[in-house]
Amino acid sequence: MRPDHRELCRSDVYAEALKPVVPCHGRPNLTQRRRSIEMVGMSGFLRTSAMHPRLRSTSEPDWATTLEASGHALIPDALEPGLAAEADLVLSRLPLEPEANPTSSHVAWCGTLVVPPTPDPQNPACLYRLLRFLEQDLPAWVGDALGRPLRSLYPGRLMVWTFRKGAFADAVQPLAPDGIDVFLSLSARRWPADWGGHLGILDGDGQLAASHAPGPGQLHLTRGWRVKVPLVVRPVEAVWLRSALVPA
Amino acid sequence: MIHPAHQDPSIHHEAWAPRRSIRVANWLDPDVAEAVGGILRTQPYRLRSGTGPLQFLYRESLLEPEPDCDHTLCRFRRWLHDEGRCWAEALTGMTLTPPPDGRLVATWYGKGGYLDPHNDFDGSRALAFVIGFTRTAWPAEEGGHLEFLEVRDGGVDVAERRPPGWNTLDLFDVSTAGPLHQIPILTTHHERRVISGWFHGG
Repeated sequence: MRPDHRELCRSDVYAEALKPVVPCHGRPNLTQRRRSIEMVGMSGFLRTSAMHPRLRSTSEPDWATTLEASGHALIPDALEPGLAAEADLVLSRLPLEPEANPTSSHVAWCGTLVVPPTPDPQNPACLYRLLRFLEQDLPAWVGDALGRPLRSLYPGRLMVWTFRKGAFADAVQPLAPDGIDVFLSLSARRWPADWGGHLGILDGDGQLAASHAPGPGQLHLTRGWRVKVPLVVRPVEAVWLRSALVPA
Repeated sequence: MIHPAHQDPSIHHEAWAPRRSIRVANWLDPDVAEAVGGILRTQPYRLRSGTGPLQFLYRESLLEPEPDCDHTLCRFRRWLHDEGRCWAEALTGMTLTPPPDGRLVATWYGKGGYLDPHNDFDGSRALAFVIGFTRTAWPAEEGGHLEFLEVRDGGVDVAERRPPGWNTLDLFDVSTAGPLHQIPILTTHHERRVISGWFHGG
């Protein structure tokens, strides 16, 4: 019997259902059938932009120049006010299980939420707002700035990437080597870098080019770069969403 | 299966008595240790984390009881819960029974693996055992060692630290609410592999 949608994120009723659709250490195989949460969409949540109003009015995006020049750009507070806090709370309660990749170079709590476009107001609105951001606002915004149309590589999906004590990623390959990888931080909690869990950007030689603490609504765009997340050694939690943009 | 040097458990009485805790080096016959340790590496492990107050992260492989199975691990499980347990009874003077579920539990701590401070007391468990199948060594600063803790003068100190080892046996009394112990987080790529569990009270 299928659990009631209202139980989503509130208990472990989805523990069995929430097997990651996407292995967090590799590229998703979208043709492979795996169990996942199937939530019911609500079109009303998708009608207005989920991007921060500040960004909607920016006429000269410096970040685009940085992205083209260095392959990495950081945009703080990319989400509409409150969305990161709400989503952080909802996603941190998902009954995710830790996963390690075959070479043990990556341990994290991962899962993919599949969001089919069928209305159901029982599900948290913030999930649809995130989907709106990743599928509509972000591709259009980045595409306008770079002068070429883009689309999300993972429509209808929220790929959750959570780092708790014991999690780390030595060197994560890009999801879209020829596109733009997206890392969206939702966590407002702050802690010292030596506790681990910060996002490190690796240059072509595998050296650390930049390191950033999680921040609510903090958006990282990278072009073909690998990232690393140092081992989390204290009981803290960083919730990220991953995605990628490719030519439309 | 026990190494000839340890056939008589009474030789360990003196070491056991002061703290009701002991490490025995080269416990198993070397061929047995090689066979069991080698097969452990081929078993399926699942990464587990704590969801309650006790936090942990490690890979675990459960071997369910199969009375008629002749597999090396099944034979070892039967031996450990029978003759191995009797050997531990003779060493500790405790009356022990096998784990109620009859399982053999192997764990593997890789980078990021840890077990936060706790005691094993639940009113039924009597003696904890940890059989080491770790081939490599590393400094305690990199984590993964078994540490017994004591609270003293407003702080928590490590009273005793036991590094992972090959063919080692750790025994400690858990019939009362102590001792607190932990496996600090492993910060580098090492593999701590053990078979661990509890004999219960009689």
